[in-house]
Amino acid sequence: MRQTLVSAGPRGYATVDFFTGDYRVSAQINVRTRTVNDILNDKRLSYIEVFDAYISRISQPGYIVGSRHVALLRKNAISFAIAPLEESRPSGQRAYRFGGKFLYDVFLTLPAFEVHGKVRTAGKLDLHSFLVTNVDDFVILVQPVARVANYPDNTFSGEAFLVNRLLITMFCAGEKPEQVE
Amino acid sequence: MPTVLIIDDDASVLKLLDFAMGQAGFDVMLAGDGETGLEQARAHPPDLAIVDVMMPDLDGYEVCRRLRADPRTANTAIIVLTARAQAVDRQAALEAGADEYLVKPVMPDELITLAREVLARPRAAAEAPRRGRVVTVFSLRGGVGVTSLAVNLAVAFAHLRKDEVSLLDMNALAGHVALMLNLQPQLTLANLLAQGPEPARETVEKCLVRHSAGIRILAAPPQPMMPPAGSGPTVRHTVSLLKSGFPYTVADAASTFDEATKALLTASDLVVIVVAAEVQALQTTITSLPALAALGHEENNLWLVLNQHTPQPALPAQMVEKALKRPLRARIPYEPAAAQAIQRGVPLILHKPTSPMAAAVAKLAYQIDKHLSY
Repeated sequence: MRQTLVSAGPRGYATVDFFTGDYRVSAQINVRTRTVNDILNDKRLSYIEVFDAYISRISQPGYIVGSRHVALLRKNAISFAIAPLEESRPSGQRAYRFGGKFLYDVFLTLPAFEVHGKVRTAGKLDLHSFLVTNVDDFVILVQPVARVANYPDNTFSGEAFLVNRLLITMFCAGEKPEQVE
Repeated sequence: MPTVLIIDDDASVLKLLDFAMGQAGFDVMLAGDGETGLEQARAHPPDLAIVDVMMPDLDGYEVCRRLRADPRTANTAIIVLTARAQAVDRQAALEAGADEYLVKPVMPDELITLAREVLARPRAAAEAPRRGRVVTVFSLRGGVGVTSLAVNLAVAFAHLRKDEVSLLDMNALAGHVALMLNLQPQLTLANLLAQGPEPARETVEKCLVRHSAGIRILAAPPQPMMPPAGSGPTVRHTVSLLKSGFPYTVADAASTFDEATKALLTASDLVVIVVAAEVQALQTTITSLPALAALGHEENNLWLVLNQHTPQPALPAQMVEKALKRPLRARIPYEPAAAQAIQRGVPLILHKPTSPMAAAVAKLAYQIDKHLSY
């Protein structure tokens, strides 16, 4: 078996890119037995504690303007987070709600960003229940690409985005879903 | 046996790479932070440096820049390792001087293969000490925001380079750089121009006023003056001294074509021509372009920048481009807080760093830096 380097930090930490309207914060979260999705959607906490935070401006997302060992991010200011696929799913008992074999192509806008991606559902995508009555604040988008509205050359992608549905200003979905196993 | 220096703040990564690279036949040196890594590299220049980006105090990009800037390590091959996996991160790593970029998690085999490949590449001779760049902000029409752009651009370069940048106010008749930075300099351009054609380095140093934003300012005189005849060589020599001491010198040029301004424009690596969205400014720009080209500037070093200095521009940007028959390199949006920033003597880029105008200036600095680095 080949040996893999630890991605960042000791086991139990996930590296996540957070985006607010103005900044990109690359940091680690101590997920313990949970996932990033669980932590972002935990309504008991309005802040998320991160470690080894590296901050860049959205206008120059490759340049680090500051870094600190510990930081708190206000969840309702996070537009979206880029996380590994396994970290973007809920764990344990909540996981049953996130299956489905239909992939809907979606386009949505957030403050400062426009995002393309796909939403996975068990049946027909109901925009109202997805956007308004959804229990979770952060919804999963797969095959995502975000573009900064004011700097369209700056794009971000990853295995999955966790998008803050409360900050979505416009949401469009394709009519016919793609069926997957 | 090639030597490799691994710089990473994660002890488990250091331990694993120490073992894997050692097994692969490399002579391994380890450092747990950027400063230690740089010290080791200076003491024993390695053939290859493997640098993590996300490290406290000194990030990996800065380590790369310093390795490249030091003649002892300028020729060291560099591979950057990072958990930041976006295309912009790769670009930032390469611009900082890395030869290759790998996203964590990385297989040791993959890293060893890449290390051998990078070491097998022919390396250029060590770079000569870097010469600074001179960017002049210019418009023949006054009142279009040249000084404001020059001040903010200088601060943006200082942030970008994490180094001091010099700012030269060449507007001897009515220079406002000192006012915009709330400075009251004792020595100014007037003192320098009185020194004859080749002022001493120490004199130039004395005339530079330090500002907390990371810039050193050569201010215009408080009383209006005409640059004396024969000031061209003084300006050329001063610019040459500033070039050897700062990564960037930003000059706020006078709205004239006098001898001093011509000397400044000729000595510049890039000229930012500020255009306002109004008919008179367009006409002035159109007529000044051939004169600037006659000074020896290639078209790609004359950058047209549209500065929206009023809330309602008289002409749309598309019409400006159409009239100029050249693309605009940047558009600086109107910012209501700009006037307040001037009143407070704080550059807007510091006064309101998240404003669209500050972002546009920072992006312009980044684009210029990228353009002049190659």
